[in-house]
Amino acid sequence: MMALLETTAEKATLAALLLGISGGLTGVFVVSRRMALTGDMLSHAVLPGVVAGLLWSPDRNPLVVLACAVAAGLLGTGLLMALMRTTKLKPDAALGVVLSVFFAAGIAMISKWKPGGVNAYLFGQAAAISDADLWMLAATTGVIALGTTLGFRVLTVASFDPRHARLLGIRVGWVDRIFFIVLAASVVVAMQAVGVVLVSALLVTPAVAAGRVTRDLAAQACWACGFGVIGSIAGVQLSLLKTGLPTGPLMALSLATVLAFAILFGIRDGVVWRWFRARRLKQRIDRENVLKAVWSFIEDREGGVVGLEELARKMRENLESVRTRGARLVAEGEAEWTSSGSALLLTVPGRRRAAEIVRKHRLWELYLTRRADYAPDHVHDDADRAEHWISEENVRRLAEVLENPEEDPHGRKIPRGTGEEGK
Amino acid sequence: MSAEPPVLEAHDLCASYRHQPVLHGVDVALPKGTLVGLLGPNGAGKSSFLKAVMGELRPDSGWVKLFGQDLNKVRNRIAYVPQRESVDWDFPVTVGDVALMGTYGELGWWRRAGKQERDRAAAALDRVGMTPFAKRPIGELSGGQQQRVFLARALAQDAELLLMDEPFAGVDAATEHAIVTVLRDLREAGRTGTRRTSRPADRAKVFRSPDPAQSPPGRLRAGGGGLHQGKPGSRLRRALDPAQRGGFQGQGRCLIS
Repeated sequence: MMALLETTAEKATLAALLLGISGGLTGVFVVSRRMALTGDMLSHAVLPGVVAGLLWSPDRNPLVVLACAVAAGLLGTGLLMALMRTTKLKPDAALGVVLSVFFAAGIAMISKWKPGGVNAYLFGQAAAISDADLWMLAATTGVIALGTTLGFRVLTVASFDPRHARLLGIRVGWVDRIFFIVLAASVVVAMQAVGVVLVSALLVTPAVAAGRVTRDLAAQACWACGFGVIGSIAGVQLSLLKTGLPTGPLMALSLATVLAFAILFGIRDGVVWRWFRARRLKQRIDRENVLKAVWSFIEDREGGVVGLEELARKMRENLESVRTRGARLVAEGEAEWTSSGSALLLTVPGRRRAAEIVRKHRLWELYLTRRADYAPDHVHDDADRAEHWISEENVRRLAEVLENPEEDPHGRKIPRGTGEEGK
Repeated sequence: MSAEPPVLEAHDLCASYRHQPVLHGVDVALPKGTLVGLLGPNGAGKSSFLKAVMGELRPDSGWVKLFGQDLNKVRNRIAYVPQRESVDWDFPVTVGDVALMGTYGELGWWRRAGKQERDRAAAALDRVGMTPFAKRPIGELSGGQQQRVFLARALAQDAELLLMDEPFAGVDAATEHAIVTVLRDLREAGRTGTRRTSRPADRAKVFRSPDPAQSPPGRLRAGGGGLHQGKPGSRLRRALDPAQRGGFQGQGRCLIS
């Protein structure tokens, strides 16, 4: 009894692995071709074919079922194309029509003839996959892996720019047809695991997650396989642990969790990284503003020590807030506390940094007044923003264009950016 | 005349969409080494003519020959630079990938791109000044840069006839300069190009041969008779009529041969 259970678990895990690979590989192309809904359409459109196959072959020969299902899927696709061509219906509307018509036909056939084994296709049965179905799944996955690897370049060009592909001598029509057959096959095997409605989970979710990690199609295919495998195996394992829950939905939920992680931590555009970057930027601007305020005291003062109280008055902040900000400068090695702890003294790097910021600010003010005809009392706010963005190169050019000026429009000295002033 | 057949030759070319005629009796013969603009208002049939050349629009009558042969025999000698709006810029490919796609014609189905192909793609990117962007996804480029990437793809393809659809639409000055320079070089090297643009003649004149005596003997004009007044086809005829517009070289869409 134990031995039998173990094999079932192993079989289900193997099925999940294969499904992850086949779904990931086809999914990447489905998503990049903007056909995500087509996968959903196919899973519904193949249903009449599945029923016909089951009726034809009562011992449920998976090859017969697959062939019938793919035929129905292609019929649905053909109808979709014809509908779009003749009526100029938009793809989403045409998809909705074909999907419902075929699914309705399938359901009607099921009620009429009640074929055995159809529940596996409707609701998915990854945990109880038969040997024959497992072989079928392995063969389909093998064909998909081989086809997408060998035909990767042709498929990419035909998907990206069919016109260019045709000029290269690629028969785009045939590439598309073969792709649809393979897609229909992968939809049918995925259906057996997760059911009609959740096929998109295997097909679309891993590919979308891969898109959050990389913008390279080949790399996306690898990531999508990895995500698909992780998500589906996790789903199977979870359903084995908590016996009350079905495999299909757990696979879909696990895959969605993987996607959530990809959205949060994706290398390309992860929400978390974006948040970190924004925070770092804000802190940098804040530090630069404090440095600038400190500079305004030390540029005409001996010793270079600035008390927190005068700094707070200058920045129109309370003492505590200025103390925290001062602490950040100290943490960055840009300043030191005096022994009393109530005043700041810039370090050499801090002084250089402060001089740079002030230099940018004043050069920009001068540029606006001299070259862009701004009044001197209208340039400060703009310079307050620009000082954080002007690059080293631009500072150099600005100074050149303005012929290395000594003073800003308000008559204050423009530091040379070396930090030697204000010692 | 020389034994070399025209790069692009069409005779009495008529084509229609759903019984709506768009091309009517177009006659054209472009010899090697010409740069031609196809000008005309919207709906004049500029794009349709390019489609007919690429075999996507089946002619109702007349024929198109490329290099004196049927399109299917010479496909890879033709390169196409698409209109920007017709490209899916979200497709996950990099600038380098797109340039490399120009070399796929010789690779066949299975062979991987080798050093030779990659060098050609890199050289093509260099020619349009896009080398620093090779690793970038195409979606991150500006409009002008996107146009240059596709020109690079055409260059990597090493085609003898270059068809460009609206190459200057929404393009910055640097890109326009880059494209014009490349096209001129190509003409010197004896390639043929066709550009389609709906911009007025001030763009197209760049491509006019400096001396009328040097202008190619080919003519692009509509044949007589049976025009549908007010239908797009007639406008193409008017736009392409040398008598009315001072020769097709002044027109806006451009073929380089």
